[in-house]
Amino acid sequence: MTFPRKISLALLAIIALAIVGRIWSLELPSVRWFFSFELTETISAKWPEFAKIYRNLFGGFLLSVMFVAVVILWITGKNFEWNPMTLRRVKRFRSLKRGYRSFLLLLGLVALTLPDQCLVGRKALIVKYEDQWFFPAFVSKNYQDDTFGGDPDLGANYRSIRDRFRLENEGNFVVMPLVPWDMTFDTDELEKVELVKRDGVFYETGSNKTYEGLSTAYDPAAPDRKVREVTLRDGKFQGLTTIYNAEGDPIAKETWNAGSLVELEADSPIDSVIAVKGLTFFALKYPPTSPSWERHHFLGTDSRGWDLFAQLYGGLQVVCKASFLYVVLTFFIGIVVGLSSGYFGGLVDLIAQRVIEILSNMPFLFIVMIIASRLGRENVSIMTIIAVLCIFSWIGISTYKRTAAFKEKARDYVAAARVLGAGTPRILFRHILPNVLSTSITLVPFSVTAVATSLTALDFIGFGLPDRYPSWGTLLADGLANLESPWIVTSVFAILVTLLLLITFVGEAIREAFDPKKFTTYQ
Amino acid sequence: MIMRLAPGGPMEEDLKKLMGSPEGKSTRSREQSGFSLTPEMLLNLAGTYNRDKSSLRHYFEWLGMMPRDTRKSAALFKEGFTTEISLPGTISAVKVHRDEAGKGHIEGLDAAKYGEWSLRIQSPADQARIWRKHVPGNYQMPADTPWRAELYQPSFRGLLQGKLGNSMSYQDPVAGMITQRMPISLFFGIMQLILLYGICLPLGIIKAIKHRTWLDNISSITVFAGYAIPGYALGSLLVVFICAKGWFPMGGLVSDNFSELGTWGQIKDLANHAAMPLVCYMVGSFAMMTMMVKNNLMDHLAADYVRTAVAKGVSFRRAVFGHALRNSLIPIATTIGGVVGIFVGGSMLIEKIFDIDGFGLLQFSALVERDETIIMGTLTISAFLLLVGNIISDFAVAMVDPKISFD
Repeated sequence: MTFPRKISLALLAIIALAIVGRIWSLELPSVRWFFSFELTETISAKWPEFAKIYRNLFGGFLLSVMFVAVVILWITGKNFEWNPMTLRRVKRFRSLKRGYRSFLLLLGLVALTLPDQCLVGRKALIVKYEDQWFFPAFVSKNYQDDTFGGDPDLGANYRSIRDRFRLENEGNFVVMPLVPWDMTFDTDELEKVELVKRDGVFYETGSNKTYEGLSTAYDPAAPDRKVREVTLRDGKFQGLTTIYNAEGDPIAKETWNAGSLVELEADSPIDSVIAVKGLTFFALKYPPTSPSWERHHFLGTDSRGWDLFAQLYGGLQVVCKASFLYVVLTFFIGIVVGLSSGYFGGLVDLIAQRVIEILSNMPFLFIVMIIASRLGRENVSIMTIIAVLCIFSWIGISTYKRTAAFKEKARDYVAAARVLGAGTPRILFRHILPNVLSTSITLVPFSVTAVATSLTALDFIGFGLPDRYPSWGTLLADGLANLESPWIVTSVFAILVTLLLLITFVGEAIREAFDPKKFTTYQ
Repeated sequence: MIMRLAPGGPMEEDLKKLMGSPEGKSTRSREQSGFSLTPEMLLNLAGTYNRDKSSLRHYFEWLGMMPRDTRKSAALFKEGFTTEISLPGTISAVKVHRDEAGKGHIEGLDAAKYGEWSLRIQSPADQARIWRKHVPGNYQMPADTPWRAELYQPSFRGLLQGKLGNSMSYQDPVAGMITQRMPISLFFGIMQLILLYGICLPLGIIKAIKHRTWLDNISSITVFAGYAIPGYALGSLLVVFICAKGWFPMGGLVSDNFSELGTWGQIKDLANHAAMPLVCYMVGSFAMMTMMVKNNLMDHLAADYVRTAVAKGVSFRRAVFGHALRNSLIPIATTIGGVVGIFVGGSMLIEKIFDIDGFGLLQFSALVERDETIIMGTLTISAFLLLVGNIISDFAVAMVDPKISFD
């Protein structure tokens, strides 16, 4: 079987999986993405009927585009043979160690995004409860907590179910994804760190520094009931202490100074107050929290309490998908415009060039910002951003293609084809296009770099994707706002630069493979 | 030929039309808010934000091809057909009459003393039209809206008269705001140029001579690694890890006590503040220039004329610097036009991170505050400088390469 036919079959398999998953309401990793597009609330409110079918409509559209590609690949791939020139270029590319290794790493990174909710997510992969097996991560249905013996009013929180099962030890178990957090809107309860008292001074467990800040004590009989809230300075009580009753209402206030009680102020008799002596005080850790293996925040959290690893992973997925759509769209428009203005010349060329001049004078960031601020941040979707990016980015591609078309048009093989009686479409698609197309690949890495950088930069200044998308730029801005939490900026910087570096090396190697510079160095 | 190469001119106008129209239609949130809004308040607001006329008309006013209303003053016809309007900037007032059809005339205006004034009478129907344009449908205009008279002086104040207008949020002249930020752009621009050419030219030459050695490979990896790092990401990292430790200042360009320092102290202070932003500006820019110098020089080193020169007994050093290098600098001359851009240079992102009040931050805050006059002003200036830069580039190429002429 030829190479295009293999690709065609693979695409067909993806289409089949996506449709099967949609029909049976399954959440299959990555292929579920085709049917994940939804209209924003503002638009849904305007056309509720359209909003209902939009998901299927858009998914169907994407899949039918893919199906057209499958058919074309299958038909044209019948007698496919590798062009010896292409083979030589591939060989040359593989011989460039730095670029080739970067390419493999990059492929690995992209492959890593495919398992999707198997790696990152709040839904359990497998739950075994009383001889029943559940696979919550792979079905669209949301289970209630009582399915697993919990509260019927709550949605299932698999992290707490796991902890409960472990405590009960009745043979039930939960298998969570590697990172048990959703990419967005998923926070854990505040972490409580016990304070230990040495010589009348409070320290954080495992720390030698006296504790500063707010601390809370709970009823020893009911560990969820807050009884005291007190501020500590240099590890000693200082200032106001609030005392709570069983209902959680503040009933009394104490004033402390350097660890000794100064004044007590109570609205009502406070017999129910539990003596300070027997209480254990806890410090509440507000996000951003530092990386911790015990809490499964492998890279810590941001200031919203969302897991950093999950967001970086989600951000990588967004970048991959965005780059894919962007490259396809940009190259399609660029090649069509460039080729036609180069081949036909004259009026077509003149108009295309004027349009290009206007567009290239518009500052891209301004346009994106204006559109983003006019739509409202919540209504911006990844498609909006990609559309705006594409309005500008095809220009570069079309310039190259225009020149290439001018060059190829004048060559003998085109003249020969025309003498043999080939029509314009045949010359364009069978003769010029294949020759022009192959060099396009040298531009792909730079396009991907551009889309990754612009997406991150836009999110960074707050004109990009809304919060429902995990985003590196938002994280970077968050890290800059929280200087005492360096893990945020470090991990975002690391992944962003790693990705860009790999792409740059690959791009450099591809360019070298396509256009080797052979120098006769002078000795 | 220059016209073809140099974008701008008519293009730049199209651009502003496009910029103007989506912005022109937007309504202020302030205009929408509140039930107690009167048509008079709305009209005043619309006047301040240039929403009282069509966006095309506003654009022409901005260009200076149509007169704009200046020194506006308005009054309502409380009852009857006469009202009094105070003349702005003076203590006197004039009487204004209107008839049923909406025609009006000014009474008792001393034109010799106060100049010519125009009058506009707005009927309740006119005001309702503007109301419908700006206020969402569920808020109705109060039924008892009176007639309104507006006194103004039409005058041409636009780009053609050399005026960029006043900022909408600060009321300062835009031109002044731009020139105020130019020294910052210039400082960073000049520093960047010095560093760029000062590092890339020697590095490119060394890399060309030592092609395929470890020095070449390592420097290649370094410049490409730098190329891959976005300035704003590096900036965030530097702020968190270096500036937050107190090794360098967190932001700003000078300390608060800058004016009290001596000359040496001022230089030190400036260098201290500028170091980190400069690193961010520079990190990505080495790759292009270095590789350009290297590749060009290598092309020429392999050329016959260098071989001939060496064969005739010229030293290698002289062959490189005297023959090959001079020719290989020609393509680099094409980049010289970009130098003009340093007047208004400055990355929005980097200036935001390091809190430098330069051109980029001006543009950014104008966008955030939707200050149209600043956006238009900065765009015009940068488009104009781009045009000038392209022309300079063309001349530079023609100057260094005798083969090129513009005949």
